[in-house]
Amino acid sequence: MVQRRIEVGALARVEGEGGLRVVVEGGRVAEVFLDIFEPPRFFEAFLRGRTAQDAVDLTARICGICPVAYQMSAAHALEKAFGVSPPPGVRALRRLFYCGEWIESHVLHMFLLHAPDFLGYDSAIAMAQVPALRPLVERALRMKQVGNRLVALIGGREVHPVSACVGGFFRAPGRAELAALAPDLAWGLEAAVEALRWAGSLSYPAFETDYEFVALRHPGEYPMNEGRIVSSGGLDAAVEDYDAHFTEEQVAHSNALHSRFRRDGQSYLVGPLARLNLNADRLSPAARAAAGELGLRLPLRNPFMSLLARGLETVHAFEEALALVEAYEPPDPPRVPVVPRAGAGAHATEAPRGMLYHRYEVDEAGRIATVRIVPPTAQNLRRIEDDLRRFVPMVLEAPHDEATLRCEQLVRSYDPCISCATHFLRLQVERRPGT
Amino acid sequence: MSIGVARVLVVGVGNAARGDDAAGLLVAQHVRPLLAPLEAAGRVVVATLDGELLPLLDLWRGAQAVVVADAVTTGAPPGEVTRFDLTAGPLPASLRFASTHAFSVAGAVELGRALGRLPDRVILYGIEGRSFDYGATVSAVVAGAAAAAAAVVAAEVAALLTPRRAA
Repeated sequence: MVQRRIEVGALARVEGEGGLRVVVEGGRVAEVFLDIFEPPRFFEAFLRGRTAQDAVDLTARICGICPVAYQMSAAHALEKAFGVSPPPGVRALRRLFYCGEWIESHVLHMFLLHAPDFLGYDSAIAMAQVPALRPLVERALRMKQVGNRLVALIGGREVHPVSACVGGFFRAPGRAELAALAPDLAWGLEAAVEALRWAGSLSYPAFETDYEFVALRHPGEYPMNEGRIVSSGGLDAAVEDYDAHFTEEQVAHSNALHSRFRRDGQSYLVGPLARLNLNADRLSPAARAAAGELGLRLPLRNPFMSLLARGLETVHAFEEALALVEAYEPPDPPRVPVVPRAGAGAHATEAPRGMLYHRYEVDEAGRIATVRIVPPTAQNLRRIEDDLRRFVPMVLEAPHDEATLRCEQLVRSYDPCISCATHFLRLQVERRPGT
Repeated sequence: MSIGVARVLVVGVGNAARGDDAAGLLVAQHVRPLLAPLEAAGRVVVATLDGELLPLLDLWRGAQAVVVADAVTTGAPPGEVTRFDLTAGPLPASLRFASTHAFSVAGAVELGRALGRLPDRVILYGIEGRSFDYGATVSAVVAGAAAAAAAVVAAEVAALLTPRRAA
């Protein structure tokens, strides 16, 4: 019996360090391992004994792509522990902050990391060398820069912002500062709609999965900072009850924990596809119109089409950011006072890659006693392995390089942030003779 | 006589919470006082980047030369400093940067080159690192090398800004 083995040393265009190993025995997929070998980060341990604000500043360091998400989940959870509730102005500014991060993260992934797969290029650099594609790359860079500027303006700097705090913001930008961004946001909205039309013209591999989608849902908003945890399987729970419904387990091949439903041990999917399918009725008018123009029929069950979900969310983020900027009044004061007390608080927000759960216990002095952080990529790891188990047989007959590329493309479609999950990727498909 | 460039951008790249990856940030920290008069005169901008590196393409707008300092892993002894001139072409593929970002310094530079958005001169100082563990502090040998590299970077920046007689 022939043994066949496909191997990719390091999967590129993902955030972090990891690898993928697929073992095929006698034409049957025997094993799929998403190896996470980036060293574990021990954030949950080294935060113990530190101040609550340290959690907001330090957890942002977990990821250079989505620091706002970490800051928001931490700040909300700790505010619950201390029994404070920031005023509506802070809430609106936080939502605007999150729009900036969604824009920069989604645009980076769609055009610079994932698009080369669909167009047959090694990288965005190779795309930029093709005159016909250069405007696409240029536009993406400009869109991303608008998101970066929004984050920098609110957070004090583009990466690892410093302004967010427990209770609100250390400093809120002035009205004129944000108003100056309005023309770029209006341009960005049009650019995002155009970009989505381009994404709609791509050819997506035929591969659908019967996912259980999990995302936050808010009574009136597309979910970012708050909501109940809902699923396509009927789950509807308060974020405080996260642990009652989901569990994490250690697996030998990964430094990141794997999440699953406590109920039946099954995997689930978080991220743009889940958010869209569970919250399409909460999309902004322009995003809904764009979805209609594309003729999208929900739910989308094709992981490759997460590119479209990101595109729709990018339209939404630009439109909502523009509305928030136009209505902006600086919150005064920009933060509510926080009096330390012993307690516990749990919260989840929607990071670009999906639901991000934080839980803290604090002592009477407000120092952190315990921490629990469940990043979206850790929640998706088991689901990615489950999808690969079904996807690999579909590409086994393809030439070796193409099969490998298709597997990489699938993994990239989840936009895995292995830095977050602990946490990069190598792909290895091993074909062993059957018995 | 050639004209010196009008403005130079110096960028230190790294993550202060990841051991020797802080090398580039330390170069920026040490070079800032050395270049303070030139920075005050608007001829030099010293910046740091600690996340993904595409913002480099915007940072170097208006600068005719950019000097980047970053940690590298080439297999050389820790603390060894290597100067690369990326003006004419990319880094050798054999050199791997110690970056976990979707776009490394080399990636951002090559994207800039493909888009015709590179400054006239692009110089990279790579400081060899060994340990990039999370939460680790920078090693003494790499910290020392970063301080020494800063003096060399300052001298190169001054030379880039100085009109030179054509050979």
